[in-house]
Amino acid sequence: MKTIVSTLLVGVVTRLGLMLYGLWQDSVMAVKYTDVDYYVFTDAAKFMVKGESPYRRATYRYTPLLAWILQPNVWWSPIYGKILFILCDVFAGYLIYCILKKNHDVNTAHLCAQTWLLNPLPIVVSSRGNAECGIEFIQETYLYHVTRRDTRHNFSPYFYMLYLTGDSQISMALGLVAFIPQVALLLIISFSFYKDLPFCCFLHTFIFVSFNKVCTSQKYCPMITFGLFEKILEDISAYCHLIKLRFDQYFLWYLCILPLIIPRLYISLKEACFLILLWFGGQSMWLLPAYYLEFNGQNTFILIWMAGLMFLGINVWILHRFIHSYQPIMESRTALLNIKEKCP
Amino acid sequence: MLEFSMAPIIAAHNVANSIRILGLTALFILTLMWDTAVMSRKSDSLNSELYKQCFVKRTSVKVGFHRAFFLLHGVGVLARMAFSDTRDVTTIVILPEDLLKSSSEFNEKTVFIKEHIPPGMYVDLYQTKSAEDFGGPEVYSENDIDMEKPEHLSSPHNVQVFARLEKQGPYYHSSVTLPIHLRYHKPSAENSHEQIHLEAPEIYLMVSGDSLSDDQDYISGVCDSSAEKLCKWLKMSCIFEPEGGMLEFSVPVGQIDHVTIVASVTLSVTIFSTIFLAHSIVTKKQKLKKQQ
Repeated sequence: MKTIVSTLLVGVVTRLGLMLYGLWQDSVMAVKYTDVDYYVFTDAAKFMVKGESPYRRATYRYTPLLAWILQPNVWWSPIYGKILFILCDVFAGYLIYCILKKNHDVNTAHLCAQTWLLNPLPIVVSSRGNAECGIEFIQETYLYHVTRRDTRHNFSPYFYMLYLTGDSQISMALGLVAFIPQVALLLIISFSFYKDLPFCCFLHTFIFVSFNKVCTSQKYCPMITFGLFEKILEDISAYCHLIKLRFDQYFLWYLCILPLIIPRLYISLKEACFLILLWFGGQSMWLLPAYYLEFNGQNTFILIWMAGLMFLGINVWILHRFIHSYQPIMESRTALLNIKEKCP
Repeated sequence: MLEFSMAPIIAAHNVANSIRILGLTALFILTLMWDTAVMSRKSDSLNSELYKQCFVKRTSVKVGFHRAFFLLHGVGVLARMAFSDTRDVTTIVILPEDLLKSSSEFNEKTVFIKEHIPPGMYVDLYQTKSAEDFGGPEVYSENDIDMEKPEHLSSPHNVQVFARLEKQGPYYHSSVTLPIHLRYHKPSAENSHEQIHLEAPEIYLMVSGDSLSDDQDYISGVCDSSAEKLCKWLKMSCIFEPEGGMLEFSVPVGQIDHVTIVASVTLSVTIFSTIFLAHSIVTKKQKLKKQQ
């Protein structure tokens, strides 16, 4: 218990330290340390304080709860939200520890919690004011959410197809076809691994991110809901119109669950390194043509598209290896239950 | 760490700006001499036009720190995946000191630049607002600007940029940089790039007092970006560089020809991936059952 407390403290202190550094950088440099979206959240909270809709802030596409919870940013201090995100982030590390302690020894649980608490990626992200803490909640709550059409280049394998067919009639049909792999895989995974909730969540988010098309027009909403939620259709339409979570955030969705499945992943260190390199390599391959499009004005859409498909292939291979080498919990009770017994 | 290297770049940019302004000043003197020579032959009424004379230089560059931003965030996985193509449009307005001294009405020494933004681009007002603290200009727009729509679903909009005039030699000048973003354009059957044209802006000089002539070039407009008060402004007739003051931008567009191959390959790859993963899940499941 003592060791986890000290790791948690180190986690909090490093994040707060970076947050303070960020305050300094923001005050003296035009290039901000604080994430651009943090200003978007704060602006949305300002509207909420005034009793207006947070969606009056252009590009705010998150749950209204986020703007609601960040209202002290307006009447107290803009650092409130950052402190909140940091605490949630560290709490996520503590949860990893608690969940793993159920089925593993303390040292394994501690080690895996460290991969989150002392990982520079989440440390930097939360201290920049990026809201990755309630992500599972948001994902679960809005799993059905269908994001708005945005065909600007992104990691999605579908972006170029949907951009080219943007206004045509087949675009809608293609959009629905693109939905099938995602839905089919999510269902198969749920039926196969529902007893091992962390593994199931990890695969869900990984699939969701890798196969996401990011860009679905709101006109698909009525079809997706299949008329089941007619009363909340209006709300869904609003989400369709307003929620669009970007890919940098998507990646973190599954990275935060990764420590939970590591102990049951029977994979050699060599292969783990290879898969990590492959994953970063896939991203770099995408970034290169995106850079030429963005900064040299060259028409590299076709290359970006190919890189997107390649990245999908890499993700599929990683998933395949994970499924193959993972030893799931096959007991009737899930790992997430009875956390209280272990973590008072 | 890349942010630290920005200070010298900004300083160098300022020096380059100063040199450019000196060059422009020389050019302006020549233009003015020539104009005066021509004007002096014309009638007195035309001579009064000279008082509205100004010189405007327009340039556009790709945003410098954006490159650093890309490297910083892109390679570090924290990439913002939907970049927008951003340009800095710099407008330098030069007015002769004689003009500003000719009447006490011109004491305010403030200009506003009215930009007619075409549907192919937009100005991010939140971005300009936060840039104000770091020397960015005050920018105002009467309407909300949708920052996410593609070109063919957008309409043109006006933005007003406010700037103070600074004295430099026998001239007053003001240099403002407005970041603009190019919108996504419809895919094309013929061109790999589409051209967007940013027309010459209108330049207005703030005028104090009410005792003005009924010249139709005087307009009433907001005094600053807070839009709390109205001021009187005199429309200037300017000489632009480049001639006409129009800037051209080129934006890459998707190729309609690609649609068949892109759609078929995308769907094949995603469907194959789905079957492949479904197969590994089912195989794994069977293996686990055998173990039990």
